[in-house]
Amino acid sequence: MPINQPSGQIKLTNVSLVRLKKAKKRFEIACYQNKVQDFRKGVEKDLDEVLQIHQVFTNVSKGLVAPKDDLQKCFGTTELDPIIEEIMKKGEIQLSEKERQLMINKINNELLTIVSAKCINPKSKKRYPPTMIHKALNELKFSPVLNKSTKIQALDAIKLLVSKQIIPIVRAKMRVKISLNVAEIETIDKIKILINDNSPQNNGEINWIFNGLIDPVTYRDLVNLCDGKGTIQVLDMAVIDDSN
Amino acid sequence: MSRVDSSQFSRLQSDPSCIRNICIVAHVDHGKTSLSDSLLASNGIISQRLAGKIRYLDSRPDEQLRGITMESSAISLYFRILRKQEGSADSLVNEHLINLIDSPGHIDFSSEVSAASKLCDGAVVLVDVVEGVCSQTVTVLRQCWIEKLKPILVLNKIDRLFTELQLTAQEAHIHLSKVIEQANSVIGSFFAGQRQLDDYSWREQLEQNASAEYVEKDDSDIYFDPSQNNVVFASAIDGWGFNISQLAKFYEQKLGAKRENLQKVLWGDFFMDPKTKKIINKKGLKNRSLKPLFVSLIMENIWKIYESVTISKNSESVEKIIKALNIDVPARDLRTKDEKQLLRRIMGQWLPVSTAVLLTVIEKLPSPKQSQKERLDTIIAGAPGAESIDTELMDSMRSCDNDGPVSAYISKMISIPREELPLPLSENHLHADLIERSRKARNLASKAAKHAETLERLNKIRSTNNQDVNKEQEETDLYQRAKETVATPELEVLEVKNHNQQMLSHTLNEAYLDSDFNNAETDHDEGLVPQFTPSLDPNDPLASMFEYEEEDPFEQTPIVTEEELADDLFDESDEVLVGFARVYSGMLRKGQEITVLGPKYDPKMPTDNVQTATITDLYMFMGRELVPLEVCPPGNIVGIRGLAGKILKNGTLIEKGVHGVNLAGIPFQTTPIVRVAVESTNPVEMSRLSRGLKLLNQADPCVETYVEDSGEHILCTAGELHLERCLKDLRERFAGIEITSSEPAIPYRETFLDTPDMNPPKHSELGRGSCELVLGPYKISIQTIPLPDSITQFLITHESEIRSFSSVKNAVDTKDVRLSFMRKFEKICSNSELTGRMNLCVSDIASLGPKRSGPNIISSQNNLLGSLSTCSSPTWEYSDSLLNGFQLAVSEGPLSKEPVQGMFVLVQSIKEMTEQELDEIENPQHQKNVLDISGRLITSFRDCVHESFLDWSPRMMWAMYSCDIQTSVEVLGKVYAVVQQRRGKIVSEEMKEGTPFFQIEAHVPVIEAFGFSEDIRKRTSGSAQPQLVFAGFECIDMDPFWVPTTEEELEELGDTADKENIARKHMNAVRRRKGLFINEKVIQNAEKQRTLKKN
Repeated sequence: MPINQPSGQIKLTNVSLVRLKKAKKRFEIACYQNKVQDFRKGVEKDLDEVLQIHQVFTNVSKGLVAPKDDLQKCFGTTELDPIIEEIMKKGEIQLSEKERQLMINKINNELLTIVSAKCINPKSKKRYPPTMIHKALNELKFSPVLNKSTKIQALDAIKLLVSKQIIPIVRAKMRVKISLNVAEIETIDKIKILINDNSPQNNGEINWIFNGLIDPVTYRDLVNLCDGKGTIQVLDMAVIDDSN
Repeated sequence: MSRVDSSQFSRLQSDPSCIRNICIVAHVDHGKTSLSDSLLASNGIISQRLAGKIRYLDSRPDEQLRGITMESSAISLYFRILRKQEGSADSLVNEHLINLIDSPGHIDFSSEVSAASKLCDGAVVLVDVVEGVCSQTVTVLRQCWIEKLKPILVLNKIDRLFTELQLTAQEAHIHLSKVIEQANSVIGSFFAGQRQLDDYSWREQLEQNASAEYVEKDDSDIYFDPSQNNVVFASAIDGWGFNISQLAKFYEQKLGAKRENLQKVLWGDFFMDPKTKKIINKKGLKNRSLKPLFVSLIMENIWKIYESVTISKNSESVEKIIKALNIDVPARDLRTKDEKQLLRRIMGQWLPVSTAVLLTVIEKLPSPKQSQKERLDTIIAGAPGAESIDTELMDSMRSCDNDGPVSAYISKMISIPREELPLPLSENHLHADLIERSRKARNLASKAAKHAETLERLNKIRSTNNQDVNKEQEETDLYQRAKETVATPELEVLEVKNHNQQMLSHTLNEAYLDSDFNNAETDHDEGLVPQFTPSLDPNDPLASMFEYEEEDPFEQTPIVTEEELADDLFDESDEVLVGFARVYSGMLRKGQEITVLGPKYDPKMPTDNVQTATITDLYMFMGRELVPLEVCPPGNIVGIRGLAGKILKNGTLIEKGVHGVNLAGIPFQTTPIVRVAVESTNPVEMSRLSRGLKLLNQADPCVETYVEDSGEHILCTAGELHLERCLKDLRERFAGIEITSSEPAIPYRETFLDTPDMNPPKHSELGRGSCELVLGPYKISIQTIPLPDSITQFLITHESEIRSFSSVKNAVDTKDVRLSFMRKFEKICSNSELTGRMNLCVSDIASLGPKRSGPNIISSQNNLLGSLSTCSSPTWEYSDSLLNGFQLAVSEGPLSKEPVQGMFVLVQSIKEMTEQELDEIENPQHQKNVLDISGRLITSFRDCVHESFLDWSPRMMWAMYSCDIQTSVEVLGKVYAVVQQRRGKIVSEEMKEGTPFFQIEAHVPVIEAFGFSEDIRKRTSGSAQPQLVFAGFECIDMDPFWVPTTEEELEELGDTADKENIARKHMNAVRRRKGLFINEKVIQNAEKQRTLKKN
């Protein structure tokens, strides 16, 4: 008959687990909430502030400490510090409420800044402040998620805003200068389709030069087309009327 | 409306000598609006009983709610005095028209006061006797002094001396004389300042010309003196007031003394000898404690009335008093329990405040005729290009000539809800629409009528001159016709317009409807104005309606459309803009075409800033109502419609073809200082907001609106209270949508410095700020060096010049600009000693940044990246990528993605590595062959520049305001405290010669300036008034990454020094706003988290 005696028993509250599967074995460490992210980002440097117990487990909730053999087998050492660090850096974590909130806020703010920088009001040729974009996106029920990169989400948001037009908004044009040797007729024709330019070939000159506005979406294609054959120079990332 | 017929007004308007234009000015809550109430009551506009309570001129709901005036409003009053003529039994009747402007007292609305004071000839300055001369009193007195308005003083709330302070009559006398003394000392200080100035200019003249003579000015007539009759003692709330001459007249019979003599002795240290019954002065007093005449004859009597009515409630003595004063109080009032009412009754009958004030105004303040003669030179002197003004105009302005060329000054545009206009178009939008449509239909009909003979009759009616007959005939006619057809035609108008016969009936039907509305309109008006009989009054709305009809808006189609374009913005709205104007000379007529001069108009360039407008309507201001006028003679204050879109805030109207004077060129005293960003709550309604802002900008003289680079709509107002009013206006009138306001986002700059306590450089062998970029086969080494301040400043000031030639498009056209700039730049570079270290050579400069025109430089040797000065093309194939990378790097700095300034990037070398070198690279992740190298170069070069940037000691720069504060000596310390509290610093402090004021110049960070002006006013009780002007960026003298290192610092500040490092605080705030990485822990202490379900 097993006797449960309280002596030597440690109760943990506020546990946030970090798990790592390595060589078909599962390792866990017991951390405080809201701290693992900070440690990963390097904001928190003190390991003791993050760890609840300086120990590697196979199962924290049952209190099963990982056997030394397993550690040796999987990590090649039995020293705890480097193992814990590896688990902390590579393991899967549970985000706690505050961390999640912070991340969402951060992504949201960054997204708004990007959208605000890339879009303009076609009437006034001015940018929209991030707060306006935020309101418009709220209206469209767009909310950022954690597992996609901010830039991709920002581009999605722009697409959504432009298609729904609840506020007059367009992607700001890019001002570029493209110069190519006249001999590259094929490339020039391809470029012309992309930039909607129908001006005739300017004869007599060695270089074909385009200087004007393009849709930022076509930029990457233009760069690929020009690569090695001519130059493409970005004069302005987003053309905005900044006079008062 | 008034008991006085408005035809009487128009008669009086044409005689400038009996007009008085006055404004009531005072500190906040000194009783301006209550006083004007009493004056209105005398004209029967409101009842005597309500005077002082209703605050009639506070027409806005929020004004009534808060109990303060926010917008100045005007009203015209009629006043008649009987004057005894010597040698004849009949007394001469003098009739006067008084144009009264009630102005707000709160400091936020000083612009309204200055706008009002520009229209007036005299000012009634109110002082609360309990509070004495306050800060705004000084301001308004100064305003009067500058504008050369003649002031009269009204000592208000004298009843409080008795009821609240419980002074005896004698104490009250002393108190009153002290208040007058205070006011006079303020005026005296202005006079002294003026004298000092005169003295200086005299001395200057002396140096040039020895014979100049100093003219001593007499200051005796500028002070307030009750015996001069320019002081009124009053209690507006209780409805009484008097000046000394009135009482002298009152006592003339009782004492049997001569009025002129009494006038002299009723104020001041004059006593009545009880034995001899003679009046003696202080010398004759011989240590007896006698009461001055003012006390014994006036104050004690008033005190007695107060006492017996409100305190002892002795009805016998009340009756006695009533009898003694020979006034008539109905028994009902005598029995009333409301003793305040009884008091008002008695005092109001004995010494009505309106008579006292208006009499004083008429006696002491100049008529437009007189004042224009005296003030014109001061008015003109402020205007630019005074020499080239038409002399005929000048003369007629001076003499207030009815027949001269028209000139008028518009001090502000006020916006009035359409339904409050006395137009036939008023009732509501639907009706207005209907009428509009029916008018169109009528027009079509009249065209059709030319072909269809059947309409002969209607044509006859239209051509009849007599409008009333016209109306009657038309009406009877219409009733007959209306029976024949079934109504509701207006929706079909467009379909049936070709059928003449049908058209006729339709038209008539509509006309019938139309006239029906007219009738409703008249009824509505008549409810308010029983004496308005449509057949008699020329200002009847109906009459103007008919005139409107005859104007036929379709005949002048080209003009109309042109105007419509300009007025587009204003026509759709429910708000009508009316110009608040003073006519200086000539008759202003409805329908007149007139030249509008903008505030920037200069008579030397008579073609600039000039527009023409047609006056569509003229109004007389009657508080919240407007009474339409046909003509307006000079010397009057009038509302002009038809200027929307022509005049933004203030301006001048001049008769066509006359070389005009710019009356509006004198700048206003106050500039807006509180800035907020406004947004509509619903993003869809943003366009309405921007339209509303435009309207507000036009309707309020002291509002500035613009759109920031970041897209924020900025609203600048004069103060927090003003801001509140503007937001309310926007919400309810101009935009009609919910809006939110917030602090505007404030820009920063980033830069870096060379300081002695920096970390060791990363590449010590290459020098600080060096960095190597290895990408693919290329190895680029660069170095960044801080630019000397002089060069940075030079680049900032010449930014527009640089922009003009750096845009690639017009590279050839702007060669001259480029060359001249380069020459200047070279000079600057050779001057500064610091350039030696970085061997800055102007010809090496490849580009500037950000946006190719900012205060950062990238340069390369041997033309690797091209050259800005010679326009030569670069020799390295990927140079564009590098330049783009540089532009990116400087437009979004490493600290918080704000623009960088003062950075010099030197590209030292670019070389293609050999195979062997490539093999030697230790970095295992290095790729030998990179796809899309030009794209990769941009970002890697940006990162590389940022890395070298951080090798130095980085700095955040915050935007600064330069702040001018004028303040008196007493509150100097408080001003310093506020400035220091907001991390500002005092730059200079100067005593203003001849005045007791100090002029302080301070620099305050923009971010700390939110609420600064409010704070400074509060702390100094309004006697210091800051003016904020943007003054560029300044370094926060602290490395945002600095942490304490030495033991002492650690002990004192802890290991992060969060609180002390302002630079980091600001950097993190910007990063948080932009969603960038912040070096801050979510939770400080992991152990201390509470064990709750939610953390």
